[in-house]
Amino acid sequence: MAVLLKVENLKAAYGGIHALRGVSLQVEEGEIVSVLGANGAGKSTLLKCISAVMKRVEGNIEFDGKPISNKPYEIVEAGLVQVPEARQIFAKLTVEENLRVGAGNRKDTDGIKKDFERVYALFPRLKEREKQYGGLLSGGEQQMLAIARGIMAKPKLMMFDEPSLGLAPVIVTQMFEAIKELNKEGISILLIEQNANKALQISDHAYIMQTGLVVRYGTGKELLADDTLSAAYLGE
Amino acid sequence: MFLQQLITGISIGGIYALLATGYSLIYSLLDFSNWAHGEFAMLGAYVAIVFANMVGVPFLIAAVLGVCGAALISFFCEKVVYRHIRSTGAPNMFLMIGAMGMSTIFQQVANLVFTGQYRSFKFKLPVNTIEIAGAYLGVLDLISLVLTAVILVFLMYLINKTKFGLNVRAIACNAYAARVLGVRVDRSIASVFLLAGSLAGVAGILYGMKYNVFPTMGNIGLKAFVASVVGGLGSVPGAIVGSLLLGVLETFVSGYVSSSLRDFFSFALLIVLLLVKPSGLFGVDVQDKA
Repeated sequence: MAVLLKVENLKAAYGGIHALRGVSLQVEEGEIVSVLGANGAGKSTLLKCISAVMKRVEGNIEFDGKPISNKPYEIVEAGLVQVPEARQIFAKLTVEENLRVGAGNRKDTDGIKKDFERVYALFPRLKEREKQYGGLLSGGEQQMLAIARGIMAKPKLMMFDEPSLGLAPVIVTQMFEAIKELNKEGISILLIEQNANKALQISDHAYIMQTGLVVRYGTGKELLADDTLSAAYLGE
Repeated sequence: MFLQQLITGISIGGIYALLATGYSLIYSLLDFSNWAHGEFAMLGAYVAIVFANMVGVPFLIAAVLGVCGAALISFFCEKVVYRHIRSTGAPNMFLMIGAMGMSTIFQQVANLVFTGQYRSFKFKLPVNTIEIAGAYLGVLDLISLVLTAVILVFLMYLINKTKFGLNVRAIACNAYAARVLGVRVDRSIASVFLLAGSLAGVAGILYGMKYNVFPTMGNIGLKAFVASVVGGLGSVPGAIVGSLLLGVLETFVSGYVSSSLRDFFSFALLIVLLLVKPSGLFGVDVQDKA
């Protein structure tokens, strides 16, 4: 399989504080890859650097065989979209408008129409609430909307930042199902999670981060079988 | 008399609305009040004066050039000043202080270049009135009113029905999410400054036609700001309603009470509203309104 996303020796800092101290990882086409770690491990910073909403100090990022752009909209156009932490849907836009913003960089009108049907089939609740303001949706529905909004960008790779955060367990399970489903449809996934168990169950590979470094790497199965993991790195 | 006052009030309210919508748009995107906004109106009016009176081009062309001038100055403020303040991650208060600084600079520059003299367009203005149902309505007021209405309807269309408007509304909700979803945030913001600047230019020229053009005329921006707070800062329909309300109130106070009490009533309205409904008539959230 071809490598879709390749991060090499990525370093980033907030002021003088080093949030990433040389992170390398890769996502192959068709894979689900998780990045796990306790709060403050640098997981979200990693996504921000990949999405170019934060400047990196050092390191290379390649997407789809080319160095990644430093402009967020060009990254989305290239097929890499982020579903941000805490959902961050557009509260005063309707569900439909939220989705249209997601499709904002596309010119293929027919494709956009098809993707509207696709996300409404994946999340029928969104179809029911098409004309409602995003802010009026429940937490679970907002997470569906955030995912659907990302799908509308027609990504090759979707990055999820803590998608299970603050959601009821039932909804979390549905969400991981949805991510698996998307992956089956051909979208590669980079998943940032604190919910290590759930994430490892669906992951092909996983990286464990601690204070700005990758400290463990393995297949989802290997890491699931490792009892020492949660105590040592995940702060559980 | 009543109808006359009402039309005058609405036409002045319309001029406020052209400015107030700009305040609201910029506030909704960047969470700060662009105190230099009134100066865009003043500078646009001066550009039109220069072309109409000194260069001697036809009035309509001079007016269009004035509008373009105001738009470019607004755009320039964003490109050269606000964007850089934002990129340092400074608090929004810095943007407001930057805007105040530019407001003063623009006023002083206008004073230096054009002196404090009151200037009027040499173009022969339609000062006549027409009689409708016993009321004498100023043709200039009517022209101003119709033009403003057309522009504001177009503005509402832009914001609610176009992709540009969708992006602007998305950024107003959540700039970070818009950015990671591929919205060209800086370009949208720059476009809003162009748009707001051109509306201010129209306001400045209409105001200059009705009264005069002078370096401190940008102070009508303060009235427009009051109107946008009354309507609910950040809401474009709110800004329009607040402006019409303020324009009518001012005209009636001037006509039936005393013109020297006009501003007293305007600001009293503001204070009462802030006490009773601080989010404004159309406001959605009460936050820092620096």
